[in-house]
Amino acid sequence: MSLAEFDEIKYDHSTKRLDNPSSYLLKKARKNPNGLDELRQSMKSATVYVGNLSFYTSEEQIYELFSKCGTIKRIVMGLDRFKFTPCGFCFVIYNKADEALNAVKYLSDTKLDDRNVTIDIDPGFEDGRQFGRGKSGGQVSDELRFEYDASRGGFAIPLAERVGSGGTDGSHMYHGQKHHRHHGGRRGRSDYGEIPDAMGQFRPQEQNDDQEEDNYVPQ
Amino acid sequence: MFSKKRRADFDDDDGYRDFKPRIQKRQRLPPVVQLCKEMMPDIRTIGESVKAFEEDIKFLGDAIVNEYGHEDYFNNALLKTFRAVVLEQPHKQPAIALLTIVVNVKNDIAAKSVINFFFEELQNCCKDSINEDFENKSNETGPWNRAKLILRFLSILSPILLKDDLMGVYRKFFELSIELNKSEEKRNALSEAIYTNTLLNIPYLFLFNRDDQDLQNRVEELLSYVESEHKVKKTEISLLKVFNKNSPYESLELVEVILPNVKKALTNHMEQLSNLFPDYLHLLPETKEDHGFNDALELPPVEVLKPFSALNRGVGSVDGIWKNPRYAFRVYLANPAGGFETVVPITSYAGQLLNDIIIDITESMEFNRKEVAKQVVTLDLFFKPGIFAEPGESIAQLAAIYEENPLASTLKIEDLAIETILGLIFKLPNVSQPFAYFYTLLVEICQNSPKAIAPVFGRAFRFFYHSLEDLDLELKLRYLDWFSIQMSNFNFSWKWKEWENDSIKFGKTFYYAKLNFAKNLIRKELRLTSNTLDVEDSLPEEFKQYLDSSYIPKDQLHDYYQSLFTDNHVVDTSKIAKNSLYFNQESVPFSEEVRQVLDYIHKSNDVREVSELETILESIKEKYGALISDFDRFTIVLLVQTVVHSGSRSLSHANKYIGDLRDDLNVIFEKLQISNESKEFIIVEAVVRFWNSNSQNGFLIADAFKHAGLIKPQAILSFSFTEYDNKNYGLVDGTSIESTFRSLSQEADDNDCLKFLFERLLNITNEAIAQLQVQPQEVITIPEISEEMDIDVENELPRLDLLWKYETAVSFFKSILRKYADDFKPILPEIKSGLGAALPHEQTRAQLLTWIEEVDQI
Repeated sequence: MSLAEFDEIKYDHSTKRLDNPSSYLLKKARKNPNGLDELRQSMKSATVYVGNLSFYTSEEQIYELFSKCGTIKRIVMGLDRFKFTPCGFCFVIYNKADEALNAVKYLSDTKLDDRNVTIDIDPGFEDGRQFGRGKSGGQVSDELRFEYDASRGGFAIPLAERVGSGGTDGSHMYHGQKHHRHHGGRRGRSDYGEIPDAMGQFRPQEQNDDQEEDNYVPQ
Repeated sequence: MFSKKRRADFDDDDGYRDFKPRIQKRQRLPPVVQLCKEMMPDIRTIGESVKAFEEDIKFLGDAIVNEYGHEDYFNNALLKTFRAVVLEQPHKQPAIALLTIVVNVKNDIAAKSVINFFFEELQNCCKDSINEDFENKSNETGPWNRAKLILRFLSILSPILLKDDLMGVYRKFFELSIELNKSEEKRNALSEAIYTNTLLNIPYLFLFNRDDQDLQNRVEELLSYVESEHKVKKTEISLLKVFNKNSPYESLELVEVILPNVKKALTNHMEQLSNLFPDYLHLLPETKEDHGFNDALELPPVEVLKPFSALNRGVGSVDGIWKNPRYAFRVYLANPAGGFETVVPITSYAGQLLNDIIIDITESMEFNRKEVAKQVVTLDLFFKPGIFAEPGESIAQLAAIYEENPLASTLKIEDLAIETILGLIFKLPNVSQPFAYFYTLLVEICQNSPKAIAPVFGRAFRFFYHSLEDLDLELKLRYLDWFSIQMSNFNFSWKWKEWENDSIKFGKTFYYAKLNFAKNLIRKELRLTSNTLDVEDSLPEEFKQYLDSSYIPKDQLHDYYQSLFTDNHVVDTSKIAKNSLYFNQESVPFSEEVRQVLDYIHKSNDVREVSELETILESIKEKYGALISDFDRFTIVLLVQTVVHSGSRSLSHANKYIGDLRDDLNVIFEKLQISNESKEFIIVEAVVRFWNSNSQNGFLIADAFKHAGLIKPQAILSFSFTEYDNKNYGLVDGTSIESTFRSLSQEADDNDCLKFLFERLLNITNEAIAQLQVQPQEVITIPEISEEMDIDVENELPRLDLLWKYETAVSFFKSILRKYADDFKPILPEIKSGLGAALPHEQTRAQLLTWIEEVDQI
């Protein structure tokens, strides 16, 4: 599917803009009948998606860095949907769309907590999107990751299961090097309205059968 | 088999089966699109490879000669690409102009189209400059800056342009600038911009036209006209000065140096130009001045332009910089050991031009900091080899070279680029782009070649550190921000050891700028990482004491909690845990009731009844009233801290609980017999005391109480600037100062806040003066601290600390008057009239009055 202005070759600038949708988003939009509208919406929304965070990075740290691009209205931490602990992504919602684009332009690929954060435009946060969609509750990208990553939960899947089992997990992992991330794929789960209380009594919804990969690796 | 295949093909219900290739067919672009796709990037990167330059000009020239004029797509792509390079990467203008001149030999229609296109663009700039609805994008440098760059490009094309036409455009710009300048007594921002921009372009007329005597005569005539008609108005505005005192360099305005710079560049057979620009003359074909402009340039009439000429209404980044006088900014002063410069002086044409080009690149390509980072440090490729020393040479190496050969270049392109970008970061009164851009741009530059750049940053860090006592208060914060981001991107490694002596000597003071910088920096670094060991490991023993990020010390925190109780309950210091609730500790007699309060807070919104909370509070009062010194105050502290505790997991949690409990808190607080002012103060105090070891969170959560309507912003200011034990945290603590600026910015249209802070600062200043026992007529002199100074710690430090407190309070005035100049304007007459009585000390009053007078000029 053609993505109109996003596919157009432009000669307006002497170098490319960094505040364009990532190639992942473009790829995804092409498969989605509403993809173009969503992309356009993303360029105008005040929300950005932030990925590749350490599980230990706190909302306050994100605030400290991201507030340098504009006034932050809200930060929504991405949580493991079973444990309600941070699982390495978040949404930063600014007051203005310009500020969100600033974050994409100026902060993507800079270090937060010693990790290069990835930032992408986003059509806007909806309830439910704050939860990881991997089988274990975190992000799918971590489940596809082979290497040990201390600040993102070490090995995602125990070595034994990954090598010898021959199960679906293993095969999926070796052949599943496609770089996809969900974007608004899980809509309408509005029961997530309540923020879990400090003791984490929040009950997860039943597992969604949507197995779309949410691996986010910018290209 | 054949039939089988046929059957399979027709088997589907809908007839013939669609053939779906496993791999999607590759999209073929139309040939002209493909050509542009391959060719335009070569134009954009022209000159980046010095070796390939000659060939590039030849091949690109031939391609343009052959292709131009056949398809609109190509023509448009070419012209747009030329425009993009001319406006965004002005250092490549000579290459683009050379290409145009080469093309002109075989396809003069193409060259003429280029000229027409740019002339039309120039005309559009003039129209944009008076367009009320001008769309100001973040990479827009402004119509007048664009006009400068286009005129520069047309000037390089002088060998193929009619002199009359080109000089006519110059004359028009100068006439406009002169007329605007004469139209008012004080400086006119636009006049200064046009004057400086146009003069800066003049040497480019001779880039490919060095021997044209006629052109030289005309330029000479034009310059003497400009010199006699345009009076440069020097404007000294102390509010805009980077240093409050002891500036390490002389203050110079760009507008005052440009004419002498250009004149010098044109003397002596234009020797300076020959030394500055690369020698492209051998690539230049024989040319003829045969192109003119189709129309005369129409500049807006002065009366129409006048309302826009202050350049104060969203006119683009670079044009906007001209709103206030532009002072030269320096970081890399002449090397004290060898006495050599590493940055091209702004008092030379080359220095001013390079400064201008770096600013244009940085501002116009803000959408791609990676490209900016690359272009600004390789700028030397576009100028004559030998101007700069080899990239990455250390100061020690340069000193050795200089000693051996004083004529060898000691100029560093890295120094020049970074100094110019720092000039944009430290620009007063405001910056042209969000801070994040500049900070991450510098990080990017350093990441590209850490070995070469890290020492350059190191020298800048040291320069500012050494000037901290004199640096403007707001700039100290920007320095802190930049430093911390840089550190967090490079494993927090810094040679703290060299600052150790300051801590040893002045560790006991509270207001010493250098020490506070170090403390605030360590705390900021801690806030940027979840691995505090990284920060800890980077510090020598002496600085480890500052890893404790407590807002107030433990004993003071203990006193705070004890003040809530009578002597019948003694607060156990060990029970006051970091960011944790004291009241639900087992040792607190009413901890059970506090747990009930917490349960109440955790109930969902629809089942909570405030009467239930009131009952719990009454039961505490009844059973434990004798333990509590002031039950109203206690009620506020207890409820605020339990809410804050419930939301202590993150800012979002805090916001949620404050929002949920807002009405309940209001109901209970309204019934208390306590003034609103005190109530609000107690709320802020309770929040920040809870978050004593992370005051940034404390102040952000106090903001949440403000947004929920439970307190006014004045309550936060009042808390911040209240002294405890003669220590005014609002003057020195980074999180508190940030919170103050946040409050003032959020309440910009309400000048009650500004008035409140102004009065508070007056009190602090007067008290400090009184403590110093200085008479109203006596002059206060702050001694300069040097490393060799021998200080009698017991006797001299307390007075020095007081002097620094006085100085910090006064510099706070400077920052708020400048930062909120527009909001201050309506209340300044009132402030001014009352200042005589409110501030008896004459020297301080005179200083404040000077700044107040200057508010109108910015």
